[in-house]
Amino acid sequence: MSDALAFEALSCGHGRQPVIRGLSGVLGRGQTVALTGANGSGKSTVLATLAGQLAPVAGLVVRSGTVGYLPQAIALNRDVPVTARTFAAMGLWNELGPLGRTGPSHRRRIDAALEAVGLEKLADRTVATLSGGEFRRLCIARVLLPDPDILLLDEPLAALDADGIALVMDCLAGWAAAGRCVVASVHEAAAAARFGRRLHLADAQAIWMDSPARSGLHVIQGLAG
Amino acid sequence: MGLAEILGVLTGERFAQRALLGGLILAVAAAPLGVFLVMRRMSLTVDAVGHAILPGAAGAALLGGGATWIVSAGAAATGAGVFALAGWASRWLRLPEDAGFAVFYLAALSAGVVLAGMGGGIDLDRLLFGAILALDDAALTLCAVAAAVSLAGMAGLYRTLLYDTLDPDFLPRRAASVVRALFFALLAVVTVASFHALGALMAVGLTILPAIAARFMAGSVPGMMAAAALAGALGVGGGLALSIATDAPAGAAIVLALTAVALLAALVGPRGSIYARRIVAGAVP
Repeated sequence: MSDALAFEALSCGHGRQPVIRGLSGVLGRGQTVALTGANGSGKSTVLATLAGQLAPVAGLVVRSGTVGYLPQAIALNRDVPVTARTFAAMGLWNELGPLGRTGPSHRRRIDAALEAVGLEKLADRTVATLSGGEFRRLCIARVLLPDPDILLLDEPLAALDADGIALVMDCLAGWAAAGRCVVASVHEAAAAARFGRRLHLADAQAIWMDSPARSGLHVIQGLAG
Repeated sequence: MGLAEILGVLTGERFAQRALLGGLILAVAAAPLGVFLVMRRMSLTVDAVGHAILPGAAGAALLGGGATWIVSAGAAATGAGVFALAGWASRWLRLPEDAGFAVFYLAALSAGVVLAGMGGGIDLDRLLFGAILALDDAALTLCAVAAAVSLAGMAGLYRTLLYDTLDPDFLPRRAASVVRALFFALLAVVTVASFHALGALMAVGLTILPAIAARFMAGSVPGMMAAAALAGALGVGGGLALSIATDAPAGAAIVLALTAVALLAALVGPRGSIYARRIVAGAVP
């Protein structure tokens, strides 16, 4: 199992004052990690720092591969009439840039990403008419589309109903099984228990709640089945 | 004056033909810009662009005479200057950006009026309200160049600008600031071209009003751009006809006609208008 994401003595925060201190860990491909902790414990700050959206206050992050980052909130402008398919296609920005043509293979990948989050029937709906949970799944499809090696998801289960949670959890398991590393902040204890590892944030400290031996593909396979 | 007579003047008289041609070109040039401005909730901010070009136009006319190219260059220079300065001052003074724009565009407008009062031969009415019935060759050429630049530029920016409008945090910061700056540059080009026809106060009308009409006419962004061009063309044609029939000032007549088109679309347009909402009342939208 090769390393996907490593961080050493990492302190995270906005500005100079860290919210979390001394975070260390090595995550391999195929691992799923639940990031837990109370509101305000620093889950979003840690994820943004791991994703490179926020500079570390101290310490080091090494990413071996491409990163897909889902922020906690996406400021959708509802005045722009675009379909779910067009919104998902934003995930191809790094490949296509401002002028690249969307070819048949791109279209197939867009359809596959929408199907993975159960939105294939809503592909031609206007984004503004989607429900909160449907839009959250659409945002996940957008992150998934470029096929990143490391997925950093800030509350991917927020706003989802039970079926949506089951669907996204199966997705996470499938992605990990395909060799990606998945880190997601979650609130639901039941959902957190389905991740291979758990990193808990409290009192500006991060604690690994499970032994790393529990992680790995056998757990993931159990998750998917 | 009968309809046939109005149409006769509009198609037969040289000044009216030129006005119609210039107005239609500007309507097409402004349509895609206006659609994005409305979606980005910048309908009022863009008003500042119109005001900002006034001191440059007046100053250039004062120093260099009234030639179209000189006035255009002056207008573009202060337009860009006021925009850059307002943004910078807002950040420096920690003012809300719209407050910064309000200060600068009011200052620009009054400076323009003062400058226009200083020189002999500057027609303040013309600076404020345009002279679409007296477009010279240079002004018509400028309109055509502005339209070509606007359409080519928007084709190139379309995807990037759409993504930035849909989700302002999506693009890398660098790409977002570049696309926003280029969009404003296109807007400045079209506003300076429209300035000769409609003046500093009315030029923005041709950009914003058709785009508002288009919201009620189409359900996709490209569809809204086409609808905005159509609405703008209707307003230009209708406004010129109104001006010929009643001797009303042509610029104001065009802006009134554009308002009427927007109002009509809001009442009976196929998308989200009052009429359309009644039809689907009770059904899931």
